[in-house]
Amino acid sequence: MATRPATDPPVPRVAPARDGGPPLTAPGALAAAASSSLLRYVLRRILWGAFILLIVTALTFVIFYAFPSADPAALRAGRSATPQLIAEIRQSLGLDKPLYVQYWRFLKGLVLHFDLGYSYQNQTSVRSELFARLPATISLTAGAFVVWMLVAIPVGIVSAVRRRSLVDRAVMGGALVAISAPVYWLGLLALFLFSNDIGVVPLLPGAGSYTPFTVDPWRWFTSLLLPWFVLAAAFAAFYARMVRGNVLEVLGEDYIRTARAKGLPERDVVFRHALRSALTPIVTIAGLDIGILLGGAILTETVFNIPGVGRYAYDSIVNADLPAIQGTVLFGAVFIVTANIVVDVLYAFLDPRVRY
Amino acid sequence: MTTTAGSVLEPLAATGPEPAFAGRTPLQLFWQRFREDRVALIGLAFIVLEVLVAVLAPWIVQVVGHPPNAQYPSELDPRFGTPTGPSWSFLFGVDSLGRDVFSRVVYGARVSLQIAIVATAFSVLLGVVLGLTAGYFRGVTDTLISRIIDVTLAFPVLLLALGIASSCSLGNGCAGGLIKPGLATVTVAIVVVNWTYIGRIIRGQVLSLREKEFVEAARASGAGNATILFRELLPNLVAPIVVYSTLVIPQNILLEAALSFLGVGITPPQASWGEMLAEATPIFSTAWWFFLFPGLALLLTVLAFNLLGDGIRDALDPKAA
Amino acid sequence: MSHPRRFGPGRLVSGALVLLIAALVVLAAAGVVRAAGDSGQAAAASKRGGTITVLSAGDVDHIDPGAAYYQFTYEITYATQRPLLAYKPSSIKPSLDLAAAMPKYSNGGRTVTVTIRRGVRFSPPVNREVTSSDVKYAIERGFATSVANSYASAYFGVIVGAPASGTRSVPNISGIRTPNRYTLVFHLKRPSGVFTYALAQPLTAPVPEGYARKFDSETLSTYGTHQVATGPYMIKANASGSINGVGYKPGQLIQLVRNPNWKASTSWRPAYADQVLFKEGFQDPTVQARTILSGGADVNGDTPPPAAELQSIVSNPSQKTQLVFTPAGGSRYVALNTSKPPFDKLLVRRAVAYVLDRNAMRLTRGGEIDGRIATHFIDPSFGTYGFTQAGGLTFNPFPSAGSAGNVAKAKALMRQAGYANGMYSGPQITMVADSTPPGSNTAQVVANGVAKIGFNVKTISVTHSSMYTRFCNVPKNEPNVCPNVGWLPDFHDAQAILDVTFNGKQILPVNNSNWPQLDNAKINAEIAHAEKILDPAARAKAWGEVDKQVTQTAAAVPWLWENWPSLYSKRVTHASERWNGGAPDVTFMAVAPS
Repeated sequence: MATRPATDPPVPRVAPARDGGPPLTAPGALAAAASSSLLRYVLRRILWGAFILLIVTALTFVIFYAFPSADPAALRAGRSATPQLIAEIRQSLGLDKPLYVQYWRFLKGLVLHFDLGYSYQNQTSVRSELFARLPATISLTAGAFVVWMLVAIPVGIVSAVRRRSLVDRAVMGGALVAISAPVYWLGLLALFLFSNDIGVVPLLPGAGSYTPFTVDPWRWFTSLLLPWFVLAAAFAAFYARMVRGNVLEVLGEDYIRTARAKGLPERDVVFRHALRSALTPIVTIAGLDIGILLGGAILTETVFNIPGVGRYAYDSIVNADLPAIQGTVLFGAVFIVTANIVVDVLYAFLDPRVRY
Repeated sequence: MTTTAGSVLEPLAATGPEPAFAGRTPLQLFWQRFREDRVALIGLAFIVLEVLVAVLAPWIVQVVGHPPNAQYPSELDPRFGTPTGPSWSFLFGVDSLGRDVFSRVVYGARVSLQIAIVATAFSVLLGVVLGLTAGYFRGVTDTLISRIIDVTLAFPVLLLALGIASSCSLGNGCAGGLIKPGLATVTVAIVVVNWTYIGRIIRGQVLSLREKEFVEAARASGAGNATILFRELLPNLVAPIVVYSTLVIPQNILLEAALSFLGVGITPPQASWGEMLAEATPIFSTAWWFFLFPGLALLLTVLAFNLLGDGIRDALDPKAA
Repeated sequence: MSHPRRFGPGRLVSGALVLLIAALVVLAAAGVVRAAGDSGQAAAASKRGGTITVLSAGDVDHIDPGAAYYQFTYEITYATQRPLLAYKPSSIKPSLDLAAAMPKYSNGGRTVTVTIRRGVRFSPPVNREVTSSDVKYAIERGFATSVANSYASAYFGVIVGAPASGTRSVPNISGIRTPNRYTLVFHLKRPSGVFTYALAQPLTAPVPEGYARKFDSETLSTYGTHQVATGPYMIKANASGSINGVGYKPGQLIQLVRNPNWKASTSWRPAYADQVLFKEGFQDPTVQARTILSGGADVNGDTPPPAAELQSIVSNPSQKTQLVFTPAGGSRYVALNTSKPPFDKLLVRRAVAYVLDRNAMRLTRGGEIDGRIATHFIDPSFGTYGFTQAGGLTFNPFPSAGSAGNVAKAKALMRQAGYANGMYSGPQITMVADSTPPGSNTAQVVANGVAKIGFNVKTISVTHSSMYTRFCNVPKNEPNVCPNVGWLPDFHDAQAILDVTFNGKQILPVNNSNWPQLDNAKINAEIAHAEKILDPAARAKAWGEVDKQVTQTAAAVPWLWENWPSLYSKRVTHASERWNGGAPDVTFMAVAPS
């Protein structure tokens, strides 16, 4: 059963949008038979994705407007509000209208003008805020991805090849610990040990030192090292286990036995034959995880004070800043749905059995 | 495909010669394999110990600690208000209100275990029921449930949980006061975000199972839907249900801790490990005990459940160990 | 000097000689003065330049100077705006800023005349000279609902023609006259003892009507994100004047750069640094403190260094000098809602005042180093301006050993109130508290305390701003206890501590600051009387009396007269605003030349 890491920390997941069927393991998968049917499939998936996003916005509306944890008009009016001001704001924001009218207005703004509204906290455009924060989240996600793949794949392969050895047990044990620790605890621990303002061993910049790449590339890099490693830790552990399992499974297949019988050196067996089919599902699942992370790694961004989308999401939820919440949820959902579509299309492309 | 963490699994043959051909039920086979997995047993032992600690918390605390919500300002530095570290009277030190960290860690186990058991049970229940329904009855029901699953999965998980928890953590909670802030809210949030995974798995399993011969046979012999569902299908689903549950319990514990850490989970003054970590964050570089012990407690609990889960999965399906 | 001789050309010569010598003396004196000024300027010149960095956890409350009402926001507002009067860092008495001379009172205190300086100009893109009508507009817009200034009606409502409640559009207040470009005349309904202080509020900083009107006509004014400056610094803006995304990144950064149209000769603000950065989002106070200590930043903007850091700084001789304690001037207190049971009963409130462990509450904020335990509301830094008159340190109607609370006395009072055993036996009471420390911790101590007399407390944890906007500021929604409230005076007069907070006439349906909803006729009358007194000594006496009476109602239980710790990095000169509770004054800070 394939497993799914989620935001941070990773959570079990099933293979996407398919009836719980087996993940792809067949080697040398054939290309799509008829490209037109593939195209139709892609189109269907995109349309369905758009529909899902629509439902997501509607549900977000219901959750956050129907159970508001604060009065949006009062919040927007701020502490100096007078009753008239609040009433006026309620009217200008359309909050006195029924829910479906408000939703329709939001939808119109979104589809026609790509407008996500204005934050209640400080009247800034949600869309511009999200795009301004996206580079930080992308930096965090991309770097963590590189780190966890670079660690997980070799580690998983070595563990599988040398299974039950001390190396295998030790590494897998360590992986288990890494999965079990809460990511913010690890983050605080890392800061406690290595940050150069409060750390025992001052090594790396601490929380709040993130600077954009365009401003100071070196500082961008050093300030992200700790967050990368902390965020990657759980994922690396997860993926190492998954790689190990996949490789072991593939190594037990018939065609591998054949290759061995043919007299191929073990190295060739592992790297040329087994690896490809073992790794393909991993890469696609990683794609899904990236999609989820791009929606914002809330916990990591909070602990390290990185001004990304995740931090914005958390701040806006805590402050009941409804337009910002709508914007961030939609943002995250778009990435998830897109990643799902990409992965599904890849599967469909690689395995013609999967088509409906 | 299974994964493991260095368990010492040996095939059946190693247990020695058996007298005659006494057959074993799957349960017996499972138990035999499980018994030999030392690491998994350690995990199980730890969990049992922790359950005991949680249940006996009031007595433990009476003997070795202080009431978890009692404040002892005398333990704080009068000039600066900083808490003091571990001592004989306060085994794990005190927090910034002068409360006994040891007692709060012990009581925190109750919260984590309740989540582990209750929230997981509800989400599994919901997922199984809906997955069974979707997979068995197909048609419109299936489409509807599958689409609901798709939409739920499109939400960023933590955001959805955060949103629900945050909405319900104010005043009287939500759903007309039915879901109160605190443990109830966290449980609901976890159930809502998690049922879809088991739902999808069960649905997939049912889809393939329902075509199998034994179902056909049952139907041919006049069994009604209920009988088929409960007598034929469900027993075959026990394995994936158990496996899935073991995967998700540690994640639920971490999810509750995350929600409490972010301030929308357990309400004060109740002790929760995640909430204690949130309180410890501003002073963690100096009050290391307050930061270390709840974190370790979380780590060890989740680790134990992970080890247990691995062991169960390997015992159920010892192909790749 | 004079020669006592005959008149004639000799006298003319001696007269000329006198004049010559006098002129020489004057020139020499001027030369000395200029030299001194020059050396002062030379010293200043060596301090000029550099960037000051201020760290904060949160954002400003309103970037619009006409709506700003928060200690942290003022650090930016007073650096970029010139109200009629302003404060030098160490002073609690206002000095001239935009005003050319101190306001003149006439007509029994009902007419106030203020002249403004010439040659003060707005920053780009407005650029033109400031006139008196800009000040008039600035005050008027505070009454519009799109700006909704919090103190407009409290301090400027006394002007003839000021609207009684917020108006949809910016009103024209007839009581503010501008007879010429540089003169303002205020006509007041009655004499006000605090009007001079009112003129030092940011609301009097000029706003150009022609430029601002279109922003102010929106439901929520957007002038804030398009503001112009008159002070030495301005928030960095683009060519059309918008600061959003340029110098103002909400929750992240506020960047101040020099105002090119500001002339040093018109102002006593040195403005040494070329740039001031307010970096926001630093939630961890330990990180803030360590960053400042290591030189990565220069001062804390809104968060005090945590107790553990204070402990290590104070014991480190080389760091000790970087820490400055300033009396905040106000008090923190626990507000008990007197509008509904059980705290509508005097005896029950007094029992609570006795049972609370004020020492433990102070420990949640850092213990002794954080300040004195408050026994009434006027802060010790007021000295003879009301503190002594209110009984000073000896007036303590609810004493207990070590201020740890007196449970026995509390129970006795509860018995008197009709509860057997001295334990409360009614329904659960609600408390809305901060969700983050130290407020959350203080609330826990309060809950713990009242539990000793039988109260079962339901705690609702919300963000600090929600606590105010949704609960404690809205009488309809107010819980029984608001434990995390406090009040900083807007200026150094006891009225600023006691009026808005305990006057029954100041209870508002929203944005209410009279949290206990105290509406005691006797106290209301005393306040109304004290407001009109102009003589300082009589004022101090009257307000001291008000303080005593309010304290005895136990509608609110004060527990801390706070000292605000400012931590400065080694490379900057200190400049804490005494009048603003110890906040840093960036216009007086200089980065040492490196």
